Amino acid sequence: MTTTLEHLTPVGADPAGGGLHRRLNFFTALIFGGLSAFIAWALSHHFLNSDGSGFSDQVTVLASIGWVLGFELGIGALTPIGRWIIGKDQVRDDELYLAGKNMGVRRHWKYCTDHKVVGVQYIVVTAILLGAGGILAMGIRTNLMTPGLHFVNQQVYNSFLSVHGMVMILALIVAVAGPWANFVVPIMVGARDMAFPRLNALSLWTLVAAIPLLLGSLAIGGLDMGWVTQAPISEQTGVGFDLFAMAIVTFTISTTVAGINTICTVMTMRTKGMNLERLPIFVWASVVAAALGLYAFPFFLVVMSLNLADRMVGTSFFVASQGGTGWLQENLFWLMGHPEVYVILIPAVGALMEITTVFARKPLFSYRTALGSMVSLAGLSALVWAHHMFTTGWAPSLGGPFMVTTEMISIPTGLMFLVILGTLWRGNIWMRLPMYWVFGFLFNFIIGGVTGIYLSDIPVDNQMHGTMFVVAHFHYVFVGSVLFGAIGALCFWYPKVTGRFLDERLGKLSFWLVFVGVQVTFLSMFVSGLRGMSRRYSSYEMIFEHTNLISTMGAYTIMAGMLVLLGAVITSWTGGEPSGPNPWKSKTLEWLVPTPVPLENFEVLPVITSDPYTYGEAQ
Amino acid sequence: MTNQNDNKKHHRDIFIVWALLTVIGVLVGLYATPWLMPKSASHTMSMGILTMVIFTVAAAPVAALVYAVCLYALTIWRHRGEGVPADGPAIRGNGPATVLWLVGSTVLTLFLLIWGLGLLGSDQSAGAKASIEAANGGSAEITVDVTAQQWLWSFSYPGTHVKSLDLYLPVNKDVEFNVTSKDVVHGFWIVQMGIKVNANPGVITTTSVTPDKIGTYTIRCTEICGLDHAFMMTKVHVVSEADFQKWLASQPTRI
Amino acid sequence: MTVTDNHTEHQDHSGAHHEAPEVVDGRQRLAIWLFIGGDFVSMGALMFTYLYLRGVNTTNGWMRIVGMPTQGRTLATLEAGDYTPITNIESKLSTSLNWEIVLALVVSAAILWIGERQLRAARTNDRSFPFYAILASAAATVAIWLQLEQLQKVPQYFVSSNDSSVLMHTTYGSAMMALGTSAIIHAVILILLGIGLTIRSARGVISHDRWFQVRLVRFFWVWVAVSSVILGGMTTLFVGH
Repeated sequence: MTTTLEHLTPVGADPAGGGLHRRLNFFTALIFGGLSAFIAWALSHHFLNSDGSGFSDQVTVLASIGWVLGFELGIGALTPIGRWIIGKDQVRDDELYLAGKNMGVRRHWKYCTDHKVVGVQYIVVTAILLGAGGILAMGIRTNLMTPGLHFVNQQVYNSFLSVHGMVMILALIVAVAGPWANFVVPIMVGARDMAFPRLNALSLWTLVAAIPLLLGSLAIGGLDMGWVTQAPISEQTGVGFDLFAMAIVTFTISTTVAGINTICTVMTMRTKGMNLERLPIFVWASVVAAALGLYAFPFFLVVMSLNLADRMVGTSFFVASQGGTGWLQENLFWLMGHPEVYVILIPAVGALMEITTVFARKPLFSYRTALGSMVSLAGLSALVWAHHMFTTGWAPSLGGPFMVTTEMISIPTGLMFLVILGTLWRGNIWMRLPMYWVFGFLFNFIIGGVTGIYLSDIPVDNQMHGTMFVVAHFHYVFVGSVLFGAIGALCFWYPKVTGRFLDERLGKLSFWLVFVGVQVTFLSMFVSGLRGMSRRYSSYEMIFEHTNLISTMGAYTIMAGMLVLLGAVITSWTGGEPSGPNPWKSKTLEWLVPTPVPLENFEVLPVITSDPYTYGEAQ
Repeated sequence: MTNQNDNKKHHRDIFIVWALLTVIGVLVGLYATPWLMPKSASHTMSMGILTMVIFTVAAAPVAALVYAVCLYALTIWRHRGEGVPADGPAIRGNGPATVLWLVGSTVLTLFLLIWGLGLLGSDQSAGAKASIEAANGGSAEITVDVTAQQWLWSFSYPGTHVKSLDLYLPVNKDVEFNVTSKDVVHGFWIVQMGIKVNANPGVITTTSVTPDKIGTYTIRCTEICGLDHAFMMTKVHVVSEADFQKWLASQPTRI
Repeated sequence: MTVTDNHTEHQDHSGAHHEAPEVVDGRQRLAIWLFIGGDFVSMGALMFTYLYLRGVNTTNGWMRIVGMPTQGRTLATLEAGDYTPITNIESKLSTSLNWEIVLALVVSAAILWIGERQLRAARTNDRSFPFYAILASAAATVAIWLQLEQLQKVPQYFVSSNDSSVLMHTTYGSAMMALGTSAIIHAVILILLGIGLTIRSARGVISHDRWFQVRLVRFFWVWVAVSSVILGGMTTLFVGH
């Protein structure tokens, strides 16, 4: 498959610069990135006015830009752009090279356009982000095991919680969409690759470039603004914030490109007969989430840029004494922040719906309801943002309207439950590993969803906002629901990627550890919040010590479970029980191609005559 | 056809499990919720606790339904035996069930909305009222200016010359707080009275409440404000009117 | 699902599965529109910022200069005791420059569009398009230069806090800086696109038979011009407070 128009008579073509360019990989990217960062740092240090109050911020931001550009150059992600500009488009040989033909495992360390390789790379990136965020979570919970700052001091604790939040948010945005919208969706629609394979690789490596910035912010330290970077504290806080913000700016570029790619793939590359109502529900989930992300993430880009501008060049967007206002920051942030949690949730729900059909051996219950609930959830999510601001004192007269829109969101959410329960109804429930996570999700999401409705009620929010009740609520959704969906998706599609089953015993052990750990950690956390413990507290009063100790024990249980899962993923990759191409006897297209999946997916493109949910129906 | 009888059996059994779980949920809502929450020191808080109870009770049947179906699926419908199960019935959807679910969830949502909006509208102290100009009391009987800074709360009583790090309030009098910050955003929360509003630099936000029980209560900061955010708390003392006047009189005058 | 030979693809002897240029173009057009959509949202965010700050006008600070205007002096000279009196601080940025920038962007878009029409209508050996492309880029460069000129006049002032002085801008100035920076970034992208089109058409990669990518670039180029008109309008109509 080609994406160039000049395939018949390649004009000005010659093999892709041979030599140096074909040697580029992750390590050259690190070197180039580091070098550029250093050069940018040194130059800006030398030429910028060091008396200015924004000097260290300017230097840090410029060094970050140097890092990202150098990294992208060093991995070869900017080469296609350069080649377009000078009119040297890629030829078939380049295409195959970039797709990693005959390259073996090492293609995973390179800029590789094969969507399946990108999918595997996203699995690794997700694991790294979850691991880093998880370590920070253990730092937080260890400190909160007892009152009194016995583990770390306030500064370190505040930095831990700020970075933990952001790392985990990034991890969850990509946890399902990254690996599976890339690996699986093109095959599911009957395509040979994504719409824009080179952009696909670009979006992955851009995300990788963002990670050292985000984790580096912790090293430079001084972050005490939480992941929501509220102004004015985010303007006061240490230089680590500039790396934090640049990581986000870099991330928004990655996710915008990825979202456009997903939508174009599904809308324009479906094989013959794959009309919109025959698409697997996971494909729709990926499209809806991508579209919602396209709406939400520009706000993130803008708010971070304005915050950086205030720090670097003395603008006054969020500075009250000069005419600005922190409320602007909060509005812009939550205009992004609320749709974003549905960008996170919808792919996970889509994957779980897919799993349920296979393991109940039944069609998806009410396909249109499933689709409609996702679309209306996405649409409504753009109208609820100020429920995060009920107690800020901003626009009290808007409290009522936002309460209405927020409570209304519970209706499409409830319909998603109907779809999954209806799919389970009278099915032959096959309790293999992926199915465990579906039931865990159902149990947890009710709690997470209902407690969200509590918070949407202003009189309750007046009591609960800013307490551990909120933290427990969103952890039930993020960990208990989204993460369960992500792990379920991993267990489900693992045989397609590796040709082996994920070890069922270890997988079930990790499930029980994580599931029980979630209940212990976060139910106890609800109690902490109900009793009056504020959030983002590095220490607390004695009355909260028992519930905090229990939460910490639960957190360690979750950690144990996740480590068991990691062990299972690693050992089963090459040592697991062989599965064959379609161990779950699923009907979606990805299971009908061989494992490992051939480079261009299909020998001949299939012609589709029905949707993939024909269980129990005459073929 | 056994399908009809099967369905009736499923409905009946699930209904039983559902009813049991609902009862448990309702009991949790009625008893656990108020037990876990701080003791109320204002009408606002009492209504807040009541709302929590009502929401929990309303949520119980919903959660119970989900859990009942899950339990049933895990036990009765579970495929036992080796290998891939046979296909289940090709149920593509169920119009009546979908409509019932949609209508039910809408009715429940509306009920919660009407309760919440009603509460919001009726109780002035439940909402945080923002104003750019300094509030001068309005309908409140007492006004207190609250100033937040890194990392302490200070209070002053307009109309007197009292400035204090302690907050004293007379019982059963409507008090309006005008809240602002000297530096970053802080969150002003009187835990047992159920009111909370942010302290923002450069603006004054307001909230009000009528404390209805004599005692000592807690104020905690709820927006991360830097290093000692976790230690930014103080006490509010609700005393009789007489004791309050005594306390005011005893405070040194500060300009 | 059945699997049969599709016959919509042609496999050439190198093994590549080709798609017709129109198919690829349709896909790329969707991508450009989605990208423009995202850009539209960021424009919305910037407009929200501008209008919100102007509307809220905290501490009356929208256009109020609260410190010592720099007027080209550095902090060092001020601290050394340079207290030259302040004269005629213009707190509002030039409206005429506003519209000159818009004009430059609109003209550059028009040049590209005309060039595209010429390319599509012309006979096969018409080689005028590279000149249109480079001219459009030049006009975009003029827009950048004018924007920089406008931003140079943003009122800056020193505010002292404790023992140091901080360089600051009014919120109006800040909002204009944000809009101006965004304009420059967009114009830089246009210039890169324009240079690409110039080179590609000079080399024959773009021609009368292969013009799809010109249209794609034109979509984005016109969008940038349109958004500059919208923002120019907003910053002209909603200024003072």
